[in-house]
Parts: sequence; C-alpha cells; structure tokens
Amino acid sequence: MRLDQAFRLSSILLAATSFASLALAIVLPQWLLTLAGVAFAMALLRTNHASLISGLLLHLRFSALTWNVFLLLAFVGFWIDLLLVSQELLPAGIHFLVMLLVNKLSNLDQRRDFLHLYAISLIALLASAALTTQVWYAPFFLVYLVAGVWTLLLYHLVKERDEYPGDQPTGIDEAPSPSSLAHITSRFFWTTNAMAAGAFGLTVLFFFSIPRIGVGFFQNNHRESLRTTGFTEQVDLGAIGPVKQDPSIVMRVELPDAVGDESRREPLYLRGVAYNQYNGKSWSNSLSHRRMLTELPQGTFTLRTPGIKPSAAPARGLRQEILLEPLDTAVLFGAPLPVSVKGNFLSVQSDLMGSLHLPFPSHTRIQYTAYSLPVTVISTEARATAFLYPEFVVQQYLQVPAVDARVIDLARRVTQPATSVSETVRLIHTHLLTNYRYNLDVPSLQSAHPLEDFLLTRKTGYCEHYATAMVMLLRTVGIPARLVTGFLATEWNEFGHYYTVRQRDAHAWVEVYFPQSGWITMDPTPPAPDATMPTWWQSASSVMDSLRLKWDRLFVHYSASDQFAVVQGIRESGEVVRAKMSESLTAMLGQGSTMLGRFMKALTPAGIPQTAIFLIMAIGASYVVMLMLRQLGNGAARQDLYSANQRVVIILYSTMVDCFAQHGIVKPASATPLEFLRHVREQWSEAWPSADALTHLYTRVRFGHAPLTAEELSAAESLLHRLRTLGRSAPPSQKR
Amino acid sequence: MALGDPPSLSMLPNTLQTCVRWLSRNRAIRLTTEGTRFLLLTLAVGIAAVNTGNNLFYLLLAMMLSLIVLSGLLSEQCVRRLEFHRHLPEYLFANEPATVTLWIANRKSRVPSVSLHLFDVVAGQDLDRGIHLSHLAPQSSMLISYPLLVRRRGQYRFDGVRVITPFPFGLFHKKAFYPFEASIIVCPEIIPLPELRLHEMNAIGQNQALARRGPGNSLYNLREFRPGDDSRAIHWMTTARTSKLMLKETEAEDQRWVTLAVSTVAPVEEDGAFERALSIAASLLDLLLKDGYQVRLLLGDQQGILASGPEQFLHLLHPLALCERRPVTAAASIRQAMAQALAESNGGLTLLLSPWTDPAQREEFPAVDHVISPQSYGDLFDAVGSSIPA
Repeated sequence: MRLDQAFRLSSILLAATSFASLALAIVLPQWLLTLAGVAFAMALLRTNHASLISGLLLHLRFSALTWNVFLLLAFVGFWIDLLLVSQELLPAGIHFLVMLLVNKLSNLDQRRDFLHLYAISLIALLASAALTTQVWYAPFFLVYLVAGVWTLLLYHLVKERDEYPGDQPTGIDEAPSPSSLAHITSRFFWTTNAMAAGAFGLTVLFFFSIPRIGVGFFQNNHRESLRTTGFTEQVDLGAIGPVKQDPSIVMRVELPDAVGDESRREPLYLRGVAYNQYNGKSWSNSLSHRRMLTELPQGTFTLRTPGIKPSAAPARGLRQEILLEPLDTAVLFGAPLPVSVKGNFLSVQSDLMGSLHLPFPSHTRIQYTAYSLPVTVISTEARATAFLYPEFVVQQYLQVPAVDARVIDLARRVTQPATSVSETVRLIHTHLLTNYRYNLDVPSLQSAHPLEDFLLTRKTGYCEHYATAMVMLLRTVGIPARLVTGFLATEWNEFGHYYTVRQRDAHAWVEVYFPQSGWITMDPTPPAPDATMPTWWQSASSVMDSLRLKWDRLFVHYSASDQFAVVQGIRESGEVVRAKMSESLTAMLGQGSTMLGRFMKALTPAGIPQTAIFLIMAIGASYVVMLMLRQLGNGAARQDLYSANQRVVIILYSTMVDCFAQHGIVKPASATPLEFLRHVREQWSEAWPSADALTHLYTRVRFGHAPLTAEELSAAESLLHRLRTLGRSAPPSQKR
Repeated sequence: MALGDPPSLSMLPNTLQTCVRWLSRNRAIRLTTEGTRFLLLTLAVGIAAVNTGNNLFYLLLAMMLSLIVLSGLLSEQCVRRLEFHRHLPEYLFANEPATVTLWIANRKSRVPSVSLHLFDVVAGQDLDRGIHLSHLAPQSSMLISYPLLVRRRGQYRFDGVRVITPFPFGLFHKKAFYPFEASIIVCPEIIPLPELRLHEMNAIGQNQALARRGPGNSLYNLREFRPGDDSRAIHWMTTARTSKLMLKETEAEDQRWVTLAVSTVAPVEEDGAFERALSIAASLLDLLLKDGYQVRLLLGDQQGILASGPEQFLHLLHPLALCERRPVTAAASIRQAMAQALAESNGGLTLLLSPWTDPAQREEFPAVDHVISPQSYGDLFDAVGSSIPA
C-alpha cells in the first residue's frame, strides 16, 4: 500500500472509529447518520480509487463558498437544536460535531485539514466517553489507539517526505513506478503495531497510576435506572410475576472468601425488603421507620445491637462483593442476614426488619461489600414444642387477615402430626413444596382472593404465592413469620467466578422467627423449570458478562480507594519480602560471624591482633570489589568500543597470528603489528601480501576505529583463507 | 577528528546527579506546533477527567500521555549511540564555500535512526547545514557532504553535532548533542585587486628591484673565466674580441623582493577596514607569490615572515587569519616595532597596508615605497561594508 493511501486510510479509520463510538453512545438522527455515512464513503473512494473516479469526484465537489455556507447553516442549526429541538447542550453539540466531521471528511486536502479531523475525532470519542460506560467502548478505544499511532506516525512521515522530497522515509521501499510515492513494508507494518502495543501498555499503566482526584464539579453520571418490583412499601401479591421473564442484569455478586467452585454454585439469597402486614391482596411494612447505621472507619456501616459497642472490624461472616446496577429503589441487597456494609456511601439506613437502604436511589452503578451472618436453628429450639414470643413479635408477625376458614383448616391439618415448632414449620414447608406446582402464568393481580385461589383452587403459582401461603399458614398456627423479597442468585459465571443476578431472579421467601436463633430463612417455592439455553450461547454470554464486569470493575469504577488498596498491597508484599530477606540475611550473617569468630580465635593465639586482621581483610575485600568493577567496566567499554564488523576483523587478525604461530612464526608480546609484519616478510615472504593487507585492516580498526564495509570484511576473510591454504616450504633459517 | 558518542546507559555514571547533569547538557526537547496543540488537548482532557471523575476520560488522558511518553522513548532511541567523524579541508577562505564531509554511523544493533536533522554546533549556536537523514539502518553508516561558508577569518571551532529528530509523531523535537571539537583556520577572503593598481605596484617593484647574479636569461655581468666555471656560459663574442675567456653571468629572475607591512592598529569603528586590509594583504600576497616575488610579511609588531613561491602562501596566511586588531593605544609601540623591522629590510619594494590612517605614520616609515590605505585606495576599501561583515 502506498504511503499516501495508508495515511488517508488510517485518518479515515480514526474518524470512523470515534464516529461509530459516538453513534452507539447516543441516538443520532437518521439524516445525520446518512450524511456522515456518505461523507465516509466518499472519503474512502477518494483514497482507494483516486485516479479512477477523481474526475467524477471533482465534479461532485462543492466549492469553498458552499462549504462555508454549510458550516454557517450547521451553526445556526446548532442553536436551533439547543434552544428548540433537543434543548440540551450535549446532543446539540454532538450534532454540530458530526456536521463538522462531514465537512472535514469532504475537504481532506491540506495537512491542517487532517489535523482538524483528528481533533474532531478526539472530541467525538470524548463525547462518547461522557455518554456511556458500556463495555463496547473498550474495543472502540483500542482501535482508536492503534489507528491513532498509525495516523500520527504516517502524518509525520508524509510531512517529512513533503518537506525533504529528496529523502526516502523510514521503513518504506522505493516504489517501482517513476513517482516518488512509497509503499508500506511488512516490517514497517509490524513495527508500527508494536509501537501501538507499547502505547497500549503505557496507557494501561498510566490509567491505573494517575491519582483519582475527581472533584466532580461537572459530573454527570445520570443513567436511566432499572425498574424493579417488590421493594416498595407495599407490594401487591403477584407483582413479581411479570418481571420473571426479564433478563436484565440487576447485580453481580462475588464471594471472595468462599472456597471451591461447588459451594459458590449453590443458590444465593439476596435479601431486599421484608414485609409483616398482609391484607389479603398485598403486603406492606408497618415497621418502616428507619434509623441510621453506625459508621465505622473506612466506610463501613454496621447494624447497632442495643447494649453492644460496634466493633471496628466487620463481623466474620459471608462477605459479598456486590456491583449493583442503577435501580429505582434505594434498597441494598445482601445475603441473609446482612449486618454491615462497606462502600462509598454518605449514610446507610436500616428499618426494624433488618432491611438496608440508602437515603435515595443511586443513578449510577454502585459497588459495595456486604457482610452477613447466616442464621440456623439452634439445637435446643429445634426440639422445643412451644415458644414464648415477645410481645412486639406477637403484635407484628402474627397478623392474619380474614381468610377463608378452609385455609385455617388446611394449616391445622398439615401441622397435626408435628411434635415441635420446627417440625410444624417443616411440615408446612414440605406441603407447599410437594403439593403445588410452579407456574408463572397466574393472573393474581385480577383475583379478589389470590391466597385462597392458590392454596385451595388453582394450586399453581410462583414464589410470592408460595411465600405468602407459608407465612399465612405459619401465622395461623401461631408461629411468627414474615415475607421477604429479594433475588435468588442461581446463575454462576464460570469465567468471572461470580453470580449474575437478573430481573428474572426476583424472588420472595419466608423468614420464620425462633426466639433464640432469630429469623430463619425458609423457601417454600419449588425450583422453576430451567430455561433451556444452548450451551455455547450460555458460555458466550457468561464470557461477555464476565468481560463486562471486569470492565466495570477495572476501568469504569476504578477509584482512589482501589489505588490505595493497590499501594497497600504492594507495600505489604514488599514488607513480606523485606522481612524474609532480613531473616535470611540475619541467618547468613549469624553463620558468618560464628565462622569469623572461630577463625579469629584460631589466629589470635599466633600473636596477630584482631584489628590488623580485620584491616587486612577489609582491604582485600575492597581490592577484590574494585577489580571486579574494573573488569565489568572494561568489558562494557570493550563491548561498546567496536562494532560487529570491527570485532570480526580483530578476531580474524588473532586467527592470523595463531596461524603464523603454527608455521613457526610467533608474535612476541612486545612486537607491534607492523613489527610483526616485518618479521613475517623476512620469514615467509609468500605470506606477506595477505598478512600485510589484513594487518592494515586490523590497525585501521584497532587504532583508528575506522568503520569497515561489508566488502572489506569479506576481503579480510578471504585473505585469511588464502593464508591458511598457503603451504610454507621451509623457514629461511632451515634453508640456510 | 574527535569521536563524540554520548555514554550509553551502561557507561553512565551511577550517581543520579551526574546523570541529570549529562542529560541537561546533552539532551533537550522542544515542542512543535502540533505538539503544543496536542499538549493543550491533553490538558483539556485532564481537566475534564478531574472535574467529572469519569474514568473513561482518565483512559483517554492516559492514552494521550502514553503517546507523549512513547514519543520521548522512541526519539531517544533514534538519537542515541550515533558516531560521527568530520573531514575538514586543510584551510578555508572567508566567504568561499568549501566542502565538509560528515560521516555518521548508527551503532545500535537493532534500532534504526529515523528522521534525523543534523546541525553543526559552533560557539554554542546550532547552525543548520540542511542535512537531513530519513533513515539510518542499524549498524550502518553514511557519508554526507555539505558546503561550508564561513564569513569571518580566524579560527573556526566546531563544538560538536546536534542531532534533532521529530520522530515518531512530530510532537517534539528531541535534541541530542554529540560533543567533538574540531577547528579549522579560516583565511582572509581573497578579493580581486584592480589591474591598474597592480601594474603600478609592479612598476615600482621593477624600479626598486636590486639586480643579482643568478639563474636567468638577462645579462648581469661579463667577467673572466675562472676554473670551475660552467664552460657553457662562456660568452664567445667577447672572448673573441678580448682574446680572453670571458664568462656571461645572468641576472637572477627571482630576485624581486617585496616587503608587505600590515598595520594592525585600528580603532573599533574601523574594524571593517581592518578586516578588509587583511583581505587585501592576503590577495596581494597571493598575487606576488604567484608572480615569483619573494615576500616578507610584517604583521604589526610580529616578527617578519619570509615566503617565496605559491606553495608557501599558506605559511603567510596563517598569521593573517589569526591576526587581531590592536587598539589605538598600542599604536606607538607597534609603529616603533614596525619601523625597526622595516629598517632592517634588505631592499626591494616595501608596501605598507594601513587600515587606519595616522598622520604621523608616514614620517615614521621613511622606507615605505607605497602606502595602501583607505585614503589612497578608497575603492579597494569601499567594498568594506558590503563584503566583509563586522
């Protein structure tokens, strides 16, 4: 490919990348997309078929005046857009930017036009970065980086070629045609790509190193939040059903402390909100009064237990790293029962049923760590036949609306065989699991008595029906229980090692109260039939989601605290290394001093004072070090003093000297090369011409540091070869 | 020629201080127009990143910074480990272009040097000779010739070579200095001297010439033949007339002597005239030596230098090239020294070249036959302003 062609192509690719990124980030009007597309196509045609359609394009080209009018109209259009159409600066500005891009693409004549195009493309990429945080930005950025390196390099070379037309630019072969245009060689191609790879490496390094000191004056992270159901103050029975088909990702959960993949594949309950009041059609929370959580150092918020001073260290339990998408609810999710959260929050609140809330919903992705303490029934309570519940619990968690008598009868009938409270709970749980069928196609919202319909008539339903039925059956037999909504994470990402939680994972379950154990999680809903998905698609989806998460974690949400953590980690590992080295050194020194002590003891009786021995040893050690350093320095200097060709000639000369030595003409150490040459002439005149030529080459290199051409080098080699083939009849002394 | 190669990293002294000193002396960076714009854009993106806290802005900022750093690293690779040799002519004349040859070698084993602009560094100034190398392959060398035009006589010192590269992106000009000193003597400019005036001087020279015996064609003397004389020189006609063997002696043709005294005294404002006087002196010497004169040059209070034949021209030019103007305050002592030297003259034409006219001068140099000064040869000195810069 010709240099000019490559330069134009890379410039257009640069602009196209930024434009595509922009078009994905914001919905551009159809006419603007078409206009830009045409401009790109024309620019490409001009690059690839310059001679073929140049005439046609010349006819199609507008005059400078037309383009000025076009720009003027675009500017007027920007103001109209800003004031009347979109009424926002960013979209109006982007539309104007695309118009500028079209203008520049159509008038790429001079070098400054290319510079303008690069500036526009950079602003477009910047605008795209302002509008999105999606993972698709990454490949566009990468392509932009590579194209940027190519473009800047080619721009420089084209400029050099134009300014110094007599010279041939780097890495480019002369074109066979009479024109002075050059071609891109494969070496140039790979070198430039290596440069781009280097630029990418440096970019990553800088990205993670630049201190995050964002003050956020003009921060605009507003994104459309995901609509959720089931986490408001009042939830109608059956409200979760419609979202059970929605695959939108709500959050991703990592369990950093869990060991083994199998354990992580277990379904994970992510508790959201609990409800205690049921009116026959909907659930509500009568204990919605919220209190602020105690903030501990490093952004940890913990639930206060009356009478206990909160500990600075988070409670040891299940740690979950949660990346929550922007939702329309302020609820913070966590495995039952969350006791503390750590994140970049101003404050965290909790209601009386242990649900965690932010003061207001976040419109950006938030990342936090939740610590939960799983609750199990203690053995004494597992066998208890009855409990004495506190008054507050009786008031709040035993409320039953006016339900059909058949429901009460069902509860008593199911629990009749039970001998303990936990047995009663188990029987109701088992009854629901075994006698009812999971079905999402249930019109509960239209039903006047959804609970009775589920339990007595239809016997099919989904999580809300199961959970509501269990709570009501338990309360009917005098066991306090409440309904909890949240998510049941079942989708384990093998590649990223985390749970992907989607809207369709919205779930409702039950918490049963045991006075000493606390609230025990029970899920009466049978597993939903698995949606069959092709394995390859599932894998691809997992990989993509894993990439998305990594992008979010590493790039979009990289923060000052992450930098601090990295620095802390490096410091800690450095300290570990230092401690280990110190230990080893101490051990070595200990051994050394013991040996030295023995040595000294052995010497001292001989009458040599210890100080003198130390002094002698120190001087000896310094001398050895000095010698080594000098040797090292000489080696380096010698290495650098001669080029490869020069070194070859020196070696050839040494070989020649050896060759003469084999024939009985030994070079004394004191003889200079020319003296030795004279000696050779006297001793073996046939060999003299070759020796003379080689010696002269050698002296030029050795003493004159003269460079050698390849021809001279090959001549030296052939001279030595000739010398070796020469047979020496007899030394003159022998002849005499 | 001295070899100037910046120390490679392995040869760098270990102390940071020395390293920094070396860098500040041998490396410099200058922004190009494109580079300034790029830096401004980087700054803008940086401000946007800090203000918004948007990590994708930080990513763009990192990309732009990486391009800047990459530019620095690659340009350093381009300008390091180069080797230079300079081949200078034996001497130069002011305002007369000469060819200088520069040999440059890339001592790197793998990395080529690209887009190199070479500058001569003279008296701390970078002088552009229009040398540009697009590509110098690793382990290769190149010979570059360029015209060198020096405006002033004197010693012309090269401090070294400055290598500048805008590679790879043209954002910066990386400058590397390779110190290797070299010097060359720049002789005064040789200017054409008007024919008429030369004839006048020649005439004076002829009149003042003292005839001497020696090889030549003109008859010098006839004398009686003595044993040992060349028999071919016997003048047969006179021998026949006088009946004695008579020998013809010829007049030596190289007998013509010229003493050129150049006054080095001139006030500061007459510096141009002084330089012009030296040019005139050099041009005169050139002509006289070519014409077969034996010349004695008296340069101020310096010892006289004798020369004959064009091959000894340089012998005379050297002191002219390095001669310095003396202030008026030193005029008396110089005059005295010159007068003394002129009094010891062994005949021949004596010319005094005086860039500055001192009324007392003529009286003090009675032996001078001809004075060349701005007053007597105004047209010769008139070209002062145009051809010899101050």
